[in-house]
Amino acid sequence: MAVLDELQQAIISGNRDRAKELTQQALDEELEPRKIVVDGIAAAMEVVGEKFRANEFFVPELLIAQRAMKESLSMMSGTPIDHVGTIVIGTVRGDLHDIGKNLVAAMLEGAGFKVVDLGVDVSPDQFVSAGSENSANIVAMSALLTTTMGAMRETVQALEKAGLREKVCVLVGGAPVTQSYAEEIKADAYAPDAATAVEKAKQLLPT
Amino acid sequence: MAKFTVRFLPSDISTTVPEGTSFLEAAAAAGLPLRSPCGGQGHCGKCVVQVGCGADEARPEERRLFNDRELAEGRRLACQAKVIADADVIVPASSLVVEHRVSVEGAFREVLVEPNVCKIPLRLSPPSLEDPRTDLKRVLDALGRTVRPTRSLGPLRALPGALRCAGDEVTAVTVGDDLVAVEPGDTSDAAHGAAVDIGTTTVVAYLCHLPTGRLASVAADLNPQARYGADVISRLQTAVAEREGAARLSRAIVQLLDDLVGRAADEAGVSRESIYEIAVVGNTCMTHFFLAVAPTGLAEAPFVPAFRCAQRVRAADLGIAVHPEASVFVLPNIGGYVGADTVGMILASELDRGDGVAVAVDIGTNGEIVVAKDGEMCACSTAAGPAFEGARISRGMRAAAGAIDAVAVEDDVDCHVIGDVPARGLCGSGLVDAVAELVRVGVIAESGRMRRPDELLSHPEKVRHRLIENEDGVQFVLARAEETEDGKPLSLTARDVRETQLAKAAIYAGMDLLLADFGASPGDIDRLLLAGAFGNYIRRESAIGIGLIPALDLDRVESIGNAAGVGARLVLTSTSERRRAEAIARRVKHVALSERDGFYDRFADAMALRPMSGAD
Repeated sequence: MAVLDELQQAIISGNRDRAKELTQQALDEELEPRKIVVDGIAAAMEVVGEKFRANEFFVPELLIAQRAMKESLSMMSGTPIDHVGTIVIGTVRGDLHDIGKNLVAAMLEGAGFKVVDLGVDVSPDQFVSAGSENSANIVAMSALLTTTMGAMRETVQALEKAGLREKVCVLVGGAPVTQSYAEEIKADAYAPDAATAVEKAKQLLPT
Repeated sequence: MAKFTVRFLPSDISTTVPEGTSFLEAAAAAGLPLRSPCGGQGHCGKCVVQVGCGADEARPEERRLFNDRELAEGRRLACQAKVIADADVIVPASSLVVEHRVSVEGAFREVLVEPNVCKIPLRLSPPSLEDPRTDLKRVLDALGRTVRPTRSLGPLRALPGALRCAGDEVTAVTVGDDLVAVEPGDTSDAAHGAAVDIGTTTVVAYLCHLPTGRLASVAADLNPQARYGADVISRLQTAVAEREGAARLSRAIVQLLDDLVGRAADEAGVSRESIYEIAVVGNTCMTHFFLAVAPTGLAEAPFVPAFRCAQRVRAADLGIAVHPEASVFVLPNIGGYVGADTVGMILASELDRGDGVAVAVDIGTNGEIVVAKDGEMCACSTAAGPAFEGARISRGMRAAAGAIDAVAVEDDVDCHVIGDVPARGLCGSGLVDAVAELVRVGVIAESGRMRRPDELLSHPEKVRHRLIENEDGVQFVLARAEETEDGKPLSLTARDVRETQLAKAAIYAGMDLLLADFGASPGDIDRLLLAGAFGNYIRRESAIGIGLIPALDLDRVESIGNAAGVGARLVLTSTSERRRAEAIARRVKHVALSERDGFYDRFADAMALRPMSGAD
């Protein structure tokens, strides 16, 4: 499918306008919406992830690819997709950093997850309600300040109190977060970057 | 609790610490400060030491950083390794904090000298039956204006003796409207003030002779809070999380300030007691730490300071030894992290007046930006600092002896090293030069990707051979093994380029967003002022080349040195400038970038390493 290959390229190279054009073209050609999402958009994000792991792409490329992907994906809303899982994601309370979290959300979306993005400054209770309302498989948290990391521990505890802890897996990340910290607060997994987050998220899904 | 002896080599300094102390803390206790830009979190990898026995098991962060052979040799991160027995520790030179180059010059502008501190020589007639006025009234009448005696008893107690000591001549000392001292004889020339800039990294004290406004001497040193982290956030973490954290941070800075003031006084050949006022500038966190006010609100969203307005407090109450009645004036903060130092910068550069579009950027640890259009101003702080200060760059370091601070690429690579010694690292201006030059010659693509050797076949051979690829990835050798201090090649890695992109994009995007608020674009800038130590040494062409600052005619781009310090001096020297500073702080609109929608897009757009002008 020439147009889908070109769409992949447009997303990978972060060309927002071209991605929009080609998505429209694909829709005009009456390609199956599901195919556009899987073979065009999701495939592109997989390549982006691979290049990231291969140290060819770094955060700058991820940022612009993510923008192109979002542009394309927003034109596909309403397309029924079999999601591989549901993730609730947010930046913890007191923290407003969201670039990293947005990247992770985009990569997860590209990988076929239903992503409920709660935004920034999300309290433990908000994570719990969203997790429960959306029957989430995973609750993912990001923090960029050492001063706000503590909210992650509180969220895990809030999940326990709400009796939800058994039903969801907790995935954490962010510059000051480490594997040791994730183990300390009894999270299920830690990811140092967006590409690893996708891998871990897939591993955390019930088989 | 068991105590153990830790011996540091090669300096052979020992210290005894309780079990469980980290080697970083032990080194500090031994008087051997180790680099810890990340504040001991285990992130930056700069505090490497080699421990024989006496340390606990390596942590996951360390296992990621060191390979098996290195771990077997005892390589550890001093901040992570804990003392569990007597230990011998080898400290590589690269892990030590080194003496630092500071920017203390500042383009000072002319102002009418009308300091807050006045020393007025008076000839007083002695009391008589016809004139039985009290000692105090005699002095107050002679001053001829509304002056209050200071509330402290010190001056009152010294008054009778002073009046009768040197005949009928005394000198009254007023600070603002307070009478703070009466001294025997004419001591009006012995009046000094200290203007202090408490930078996150460097603290500078300028001693000024107040009657003339002349600069008498300067003393500078590294901010000792650096032990708790190179950037403000790490220090906030210490202040908020540790019980004595805020007090320790405060003591550290006050002690240094006291020390610097003493040093400056010695150098000028004047006494500490002749210093009657200290004007202080610093970012919001620094002003809080200085006054020992917990900056708790600044540690998380919505990032509110405990106070904003100017503060006036007795130097003696803070523990600073100058004249016993001396006061300290801390300039007001603007909002969020944008503090008194930015007010100082605006005052010095007069952004509050004038026509056209003017931008001032302090590419220091916090990256404050002020945009002014016809005197209307807004300001923000970006989190861009650390990369340009060496914290997240593989061979990054502060500007000190051994730092590559300039790079040129033609047939080969030519690096200038500060102090002309073997290279040990790359500092901010060197980093910007290196990236700019490598982009210019095509070794680095605009996207930030470092090209592979087989893509550079038409490049000069010597340049091409510097591009190597190994298990750490692609990197460009700036200084070969024989030119460096540790005998290993000093390279710029692909990741370093990305860190530079992220940092410069944040600054550019912040500037772009503030300009847009005024309906202006980067091309409209009439004056772009680069402040801070970094601003002085960075090559404007390189900064433009990588899109750190907009592509403007060079005559519109100016380095203004330590403008915050100049602002503090202005406030000391002139009461109208002091009022102006307070007005500025009220007028500047603080913009919190994290809350603005437009920032993210601009940030992504600003990633490319190429000249930017907003016409794109």
